[in-house]
Amino acid sequence: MEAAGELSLPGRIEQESERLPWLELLGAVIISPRKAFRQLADHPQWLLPSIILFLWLLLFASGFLAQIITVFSQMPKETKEALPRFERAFVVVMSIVQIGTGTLALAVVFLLMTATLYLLCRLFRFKSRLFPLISGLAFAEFVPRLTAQSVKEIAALLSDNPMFMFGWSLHLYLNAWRRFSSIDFPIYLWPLLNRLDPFHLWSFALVVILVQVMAGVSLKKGVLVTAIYWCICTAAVMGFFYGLEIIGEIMGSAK
Amino acid sequence: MNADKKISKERLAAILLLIIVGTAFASVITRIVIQKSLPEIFRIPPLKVGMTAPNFQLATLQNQTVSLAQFRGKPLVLMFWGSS
Repeated sequence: MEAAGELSLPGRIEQESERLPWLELLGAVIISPRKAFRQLADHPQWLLPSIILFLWLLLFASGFLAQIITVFSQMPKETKEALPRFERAFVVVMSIVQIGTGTLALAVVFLLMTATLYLLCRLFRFKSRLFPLISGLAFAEFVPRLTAQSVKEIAALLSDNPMFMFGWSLHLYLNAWRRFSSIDFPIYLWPLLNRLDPFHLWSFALVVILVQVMAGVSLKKGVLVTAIYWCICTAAVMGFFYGLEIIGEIMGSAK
Repeated sequence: MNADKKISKERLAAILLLIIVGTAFASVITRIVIQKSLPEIFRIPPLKVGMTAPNFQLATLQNQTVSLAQFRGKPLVLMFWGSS
């Protein structure tokens, strides 16, 4: 027998969902993201996206370590013997620094990205709560990246090319087509080219669904907000790399 | 029944992702182990036109040792022949 109060709020009863186990939530992000984001709207999760972020960085850093070891082991003996201590120190320090600063920097960058998406939703007068949005965006951004990094690492082993892990995107396809490195893209274009791969498109689609679910808007509005969000994020990274290039040029001319 | 089936699909997708991530970690470790355990000759990438040849030493017919480094900057012809 149902209470009168419950009958008067059918929408609310429908929206509340049972908390999914973490394995099923992770699977839902891949095969039924709408369901996963509805679940996250009711029960925001923090631990699972943090673990995914950490695994992604750990994989990236260990892949970097494997590449450095490969490069050092292919060096001529005389060169290698000149820097054995440097080799050890460089490899260890770089890996630790990468995981440490990478986690911190990505957490800050991720919060800025969420703030951008949240402000865009507010600007378009969409109603969305901040904490479920952060949790959902973490899944939408980190699950495709972890998958992409994993595929890159497996491909790097199979391709017998240690540099493979750095070139997955359109940049690689273009260079491969023109027999490698005949196209010399300026460094600030790399973030744009690196974002034109299947995994980033998957992430884009997840963010569209996230906006749809969290703000309760149509597909068209979801795509519009996500496209603006994508352009802002890409422009910010390109600006960062452009700044690095300018600093590099200034330092080069000072020498 | 249908809901149960869908849940198992989601679990399967998550397990597949975890297998891919696990394989990626295993492949990174394999790359490191291969590079550390290979003899040096197999680690040197194949030479291409324009690359500097790695240094080596050989004995002459007069039993003197010569190395490639001695001829750095000079044209050098290597002749391989067989004698019966």
